[in-house]
Amino acid sequence: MVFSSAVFLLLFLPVVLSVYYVVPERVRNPVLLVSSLLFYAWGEPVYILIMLFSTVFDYGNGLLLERLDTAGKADKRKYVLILSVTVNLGLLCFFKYTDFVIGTVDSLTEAGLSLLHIALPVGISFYTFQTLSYTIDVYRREVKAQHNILDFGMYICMFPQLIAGPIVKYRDVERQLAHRDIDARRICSGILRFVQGLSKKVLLANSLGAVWDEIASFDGRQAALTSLIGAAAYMLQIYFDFSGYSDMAIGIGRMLGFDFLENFDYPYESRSVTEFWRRWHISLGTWFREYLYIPLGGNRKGLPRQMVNLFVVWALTGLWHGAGWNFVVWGLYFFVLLALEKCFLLTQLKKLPSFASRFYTLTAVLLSWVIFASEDLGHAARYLASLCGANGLADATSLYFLRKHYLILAIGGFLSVSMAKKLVRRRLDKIKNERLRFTLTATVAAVLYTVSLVMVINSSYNPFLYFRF
Amino acid sequence: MDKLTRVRKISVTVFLIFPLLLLTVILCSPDRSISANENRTLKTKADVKWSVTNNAFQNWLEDYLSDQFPLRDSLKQAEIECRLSFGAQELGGAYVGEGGRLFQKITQSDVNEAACLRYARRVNRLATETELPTYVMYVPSAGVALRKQLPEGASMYDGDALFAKLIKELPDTQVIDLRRRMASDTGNYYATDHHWTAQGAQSAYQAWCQVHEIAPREAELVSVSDTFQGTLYSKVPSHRVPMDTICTVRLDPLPELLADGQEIPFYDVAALATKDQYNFFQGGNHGIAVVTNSVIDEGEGKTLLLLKDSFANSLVPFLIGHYRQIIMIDERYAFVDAEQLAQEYGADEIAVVREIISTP
Repeated sequence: MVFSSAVFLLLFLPVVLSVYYVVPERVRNPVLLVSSLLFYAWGEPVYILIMLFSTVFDYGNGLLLERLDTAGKADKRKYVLILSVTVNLGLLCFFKYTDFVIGTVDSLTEAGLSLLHIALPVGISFYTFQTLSYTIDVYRREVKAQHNILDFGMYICMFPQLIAGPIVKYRDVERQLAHRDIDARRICSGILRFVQGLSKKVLLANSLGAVWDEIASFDGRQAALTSLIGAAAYMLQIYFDFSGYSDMAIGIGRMLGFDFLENFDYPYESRSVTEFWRRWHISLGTWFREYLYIPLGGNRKGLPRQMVNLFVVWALTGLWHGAGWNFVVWGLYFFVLLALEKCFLLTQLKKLPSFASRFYTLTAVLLSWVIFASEDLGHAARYLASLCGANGLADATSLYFLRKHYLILAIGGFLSVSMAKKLVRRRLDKIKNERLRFTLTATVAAVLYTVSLVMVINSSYNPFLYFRF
Repeated sequence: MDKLTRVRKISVTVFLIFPLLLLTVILCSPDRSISANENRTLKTKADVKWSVTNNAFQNWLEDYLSDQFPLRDSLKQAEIECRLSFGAQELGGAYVGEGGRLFQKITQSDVNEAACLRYARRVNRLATETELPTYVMYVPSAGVALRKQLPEGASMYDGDALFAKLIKELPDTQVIDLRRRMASDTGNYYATDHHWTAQGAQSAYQAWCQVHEIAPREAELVSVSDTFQGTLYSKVPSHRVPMDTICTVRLDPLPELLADGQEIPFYDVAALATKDQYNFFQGGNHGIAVVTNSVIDEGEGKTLLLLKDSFANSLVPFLIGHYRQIIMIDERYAFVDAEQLAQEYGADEIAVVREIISTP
């Protein structure tokens, strides 16, 4: 089930929340667990078994780690960790990368291997990282093992962040699993956040996505300006889509009494790629830093080793985003930029005026999204060539696209930086009456919610025309 | 409880109750089963499917809630109006041209050129194998013919390049080139539909006569409907889009029409009361439709085997005066061997009339 669907908005969310608020506190976790399983099973009636397996498996691993500690067999603990990591990553790799490996081997050897066409279980990349963070933290003795399987299951399967993150680390919500404060103020703030995310997704991301889809379908035959419009549209789409989803997850989390960490912090304002990755998909960056980069030695073992570590982290970050060579190249592209910045570029960038360093960052990120969004490396190369002017700088089609999309690009650009938020906040702060301030915000949210709902419904308007009668 | 907390609690309640209220309205009000605008059936309670292993129920519920949402059509119209007032020139795959005239957006990648060429080769083969005079009339798409009416810079496929490639494949036929005629007047196409108007069809008829070296018959055009909102209107349902008038030739007596073995009216007046009024012409498309002109006695006059798409439906009223019989074959609805049919019906001529990009 996705958040921006009629079933979720009209049925699932209001029913689950109503039940959740009405039942006594001790029943809330089971309610949340059951509704999360329903949420997942709605779209993946079969693959839910894999998620349940992961959950039970790592619940067991946590207990085992704890028992080995109390039994004084601490030296055996690492085998449990290795088992957990192997099984979890094994499942992830099997479902996510088998066809990719077969396809690559086949194209290299021309052996005529056929793909298995394995469907990817929804959210597996996210919940695998969540369960791993739990086992690793228990291993490191940073958290205690969870004894209540319902609470643990709820942590893994919790529907707000199940499908598209943020990746919630166990230790960040450990306390809230047992007790959460829920009051009208927090619920309202959650609703506002949810509506903000929903409108980002429905009103901005979807329209911007259509722009990219159309221009990408020209397959590099377009003029540079057209390519730029397409790439800029994608750049904004992925931001509003992803950060919108995170907003919705954080918002629902807050309605349920959870505090999830922020996942995006206006990344397009960054003055370096290093900074960009501190502000984009923060929960993933932190995960890789804490569970891979630092254990590998981080920057503590000299520059050559640091570069190797960076390389590993970014090759895997690329692969995490998708099973395709363009994702690997995309990850390594960032490795190169980050390595350069670590070596000398960062100090140079700091000397530049902010518009120049921001321009550099935006350009670097824009190019990366072209690689990311393309179907394959060939498509990406053709698109980049057109972006560089291989088919001329602009033509009538470019101007048509510009006229057609300038408004949404301008609005998107404005809303993707913090200026808009600051302006609104400044205005709101001038209103001293808190009740009036809230009423005003709530009214705007109500309008945005209604318009978003209407757009979700309208997207089902689908004139069925026998093509060419 | 202070006032602010009360306002907050009310807000939370509204956030929970409002969607549930909508849901209740959807579930309790009677279902609409058809959306005329979209030309499709809507999901109703009767369509519900149950399954544990696949997503049949889930998909049904999602579709059902969207399809039966209160004021669904009006909400879509409101969105369209909103977009148009922000200057939208393209909506749902249709270009909005001068004065609200709509054009189907067909880009180069929408055209299956290989299939078009394959079909042209087949027609040429048919001409050589039957040794019958064969005429090919490619109808330009409205957006190509009336290019100047499109929003500036709007992309359409290259009609001239395609035409040039196709005629190379048709050396043994006579190609009737309509490009200049169709481009000469906006009135040749409907504003809300991708088809040509009676005026457009009449102009094509004149070109037909020219190639056949015969004089066009007098044709009196009569209006049969002035409330036509065609397939493109469905994509852009807005009051800014003008309604079309359907005209046709007055024929007396009307030709007889045997469509897939059933006798039906040549002009289907009942279709004018439905959404798709273009079905007025022969009640729409049929696999094999035999049109007989009773004015010409049996055994006299010529028989035409017409391989066609829906454009031909409004051209046949002009052509029928010159033939005893026209055998209309729509190869999308009937898998037939055209050569065998030509023999069976004793065809004297073969013609292809279809939009240039359409293939069976």
